[in-house]
Amino acid sequence: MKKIVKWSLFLGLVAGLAVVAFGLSFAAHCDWTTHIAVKDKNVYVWMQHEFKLSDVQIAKIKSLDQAYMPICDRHCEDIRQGEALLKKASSAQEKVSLEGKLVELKDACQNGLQEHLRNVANQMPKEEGARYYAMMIENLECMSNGAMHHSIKTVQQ
Amino acid sequence: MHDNDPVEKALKLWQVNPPIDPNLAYKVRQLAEKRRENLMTFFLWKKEWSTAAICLTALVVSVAGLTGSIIGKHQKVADRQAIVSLYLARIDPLRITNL
Repeated sequence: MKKIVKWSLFLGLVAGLAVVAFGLSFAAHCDWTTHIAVKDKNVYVWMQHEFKLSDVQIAKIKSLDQAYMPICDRHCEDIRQGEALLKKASSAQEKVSLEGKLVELKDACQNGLQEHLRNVANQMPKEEGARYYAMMIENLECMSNGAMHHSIKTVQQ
Repeated sequence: MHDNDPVEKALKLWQVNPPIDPNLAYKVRQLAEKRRENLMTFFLWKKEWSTAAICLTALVVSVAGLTGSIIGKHQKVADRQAIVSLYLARIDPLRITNL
């Protein structure tokens, strides 16, 4: 009976130490601010933490994002309309013309987004801005290629 | 511990005044020898078990720590990926919904 108690105590101690080691190691390697930001869906908390931004800088970025939203909506609407027209197109000539127009609209959308990202990057310290821009562009490319599960380790630095 | 042992005490005493009966002295010496052997075996066994327990604990704690760090790193990458997607979805919803 005494032996069982001793063994139980020993195993309990080992398990406790293992749990503590796991917890400390996990906490040390996990980014809690990002984790909480994901849970709260608060991208600006993450951005401020990730790119070491001041309150003034983050407020400016928020206003830039808000100002860009109607521009983005307009691009989206134009593309939707272009796609709808392309579906309805009857002649081959009309199709070619509408396809060309659609490519132009998508390019405009892409360029607009890149310009917006550059504007946001300009609000950050130079190195952080470059890192932000590279991270966003890489993710956009990966998303466009359908590689949703790609790792962004390369731009973490 | 040895000072309180009656057998050891007797042996010490007999070094000054040896017992008359040599057979009894021999038996007591044998008993003392046996006790020492048992004691040594016990301590050696205990030492081995202590070493094994320390090694096992260290191994389990190391594996737990390593697992924690690997999962933590994966969590960090996954969180970063999720928040970037969330941000891009906010500023360019069409691109994300079209995927």
